[in-house]
Amino acid sequence: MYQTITPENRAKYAATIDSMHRNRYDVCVRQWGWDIPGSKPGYEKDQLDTEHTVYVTVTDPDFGKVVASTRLNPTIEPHMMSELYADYCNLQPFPQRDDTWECSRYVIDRTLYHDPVKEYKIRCNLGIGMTRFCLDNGIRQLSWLTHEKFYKLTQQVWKTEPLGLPVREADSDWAWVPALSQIDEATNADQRQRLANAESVVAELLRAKSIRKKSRAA
Amino acid sequence: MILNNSAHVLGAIRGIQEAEKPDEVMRIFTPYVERYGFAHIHLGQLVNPANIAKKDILSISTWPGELMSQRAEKYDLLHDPVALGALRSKRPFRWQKAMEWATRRGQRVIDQTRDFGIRDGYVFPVHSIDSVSGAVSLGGDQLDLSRTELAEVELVSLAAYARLETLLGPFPYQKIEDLTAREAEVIQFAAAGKTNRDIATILSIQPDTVNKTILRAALKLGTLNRAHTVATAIAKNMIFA
Repeated sequence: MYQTITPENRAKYAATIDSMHRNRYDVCVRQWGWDIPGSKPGYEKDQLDTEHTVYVTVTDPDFGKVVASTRLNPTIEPHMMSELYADYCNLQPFPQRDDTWECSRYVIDRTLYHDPVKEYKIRCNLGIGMTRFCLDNGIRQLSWLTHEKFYKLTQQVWKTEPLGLPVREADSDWAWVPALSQIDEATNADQRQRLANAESVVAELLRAKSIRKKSRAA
Repeated sequence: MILNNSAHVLGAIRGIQEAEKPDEVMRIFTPYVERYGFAHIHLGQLVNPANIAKKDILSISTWPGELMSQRAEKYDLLHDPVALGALRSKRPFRWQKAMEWATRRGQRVIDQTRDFGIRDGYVFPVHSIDSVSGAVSLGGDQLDLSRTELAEVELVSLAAYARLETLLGPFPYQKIEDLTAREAEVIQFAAAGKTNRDIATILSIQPDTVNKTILRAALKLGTLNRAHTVATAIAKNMIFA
């Protein structure tokens, strides 16, 4: 269900890439309210979408477009941490190594889904696609600047530790945490397991809600 | 520049992440926060105790048992200005800040905690993509933390919370669905005391449509009636107070 778009196969995925940039605009600019310098209206692309960038995308045939994607950049090339946020890494230096890539623009358009199982499967697919690309290409670590809410999730999915203390930018109360996650086969197996059991995982998570509704009905 | 205290912070986080049992997490977390002057830990998910049993949520406390029993008996969480602030705030804040929005009952909740010798503290809100919000509330006496120290405690608190949630969970998923623009608009007018007929006139729609919109919003928010829906929408920052 996911596509891995590398510099080598990029020509084949021109339409998917176009759809991805449009989806990124919908989520990052319209929904999250980010101000991204240089972005064209309706199309989010910046200086870190480079010739080295790899994208993992998830297309939903029901919508006929990309609904989730992420961007991976090698840390031996210019990347977000080296170019923009080096000073955020005040607990340990950000790694710049062949086996460490940077993940950014981890985007899922959650407004499209009323069915929590379907949304959960989209999320699982994006995570699996990203982890799989890393494992197949000798990438053992991913660095990212994570939103506080997402940082909690990264800690629970990947073995993750912070590179710096939480930072709050002047115009936002939300904290950002630079982080480094280990990528391994065990994580990929867990992700696949969660996707295979998506119905029961989500049902378990929804349990309290249904108990509450039943008690009201009674 | 790497902070002097970085090894200490990372050591605590790595230890917490490797802990296999909740008490191992607490054996690392407790002495860590003690170094910053915190003697009492209370952490957990912030849900309505009238709706969900405590056994179904993450809840760990080193507060005196008697205080906890008293709080549970009277559903004090619903009035606790620190807890209510943590639901809304994205930043850590000092307990005394919560007195700004405390009701009279809320002030009594704070006073009751002080009666047990827990006089000062900070709360570190924990927000998630999947789960209900929670908080790590740390109590002490005469606390004086720098901004960096506060961030150090915040980061280790987030690690402890995430690890405990993983070890003790899964806990109930309670995604609060977003209201549509129309639902928010209708609830906003209901919050201003307008009747369905008033709202229908203002928005040029049928009163029946207003009613259905409110019911749909109530279903999303899991609320019981109009007042409950308005109050919940305000508490979740979905409409203006």
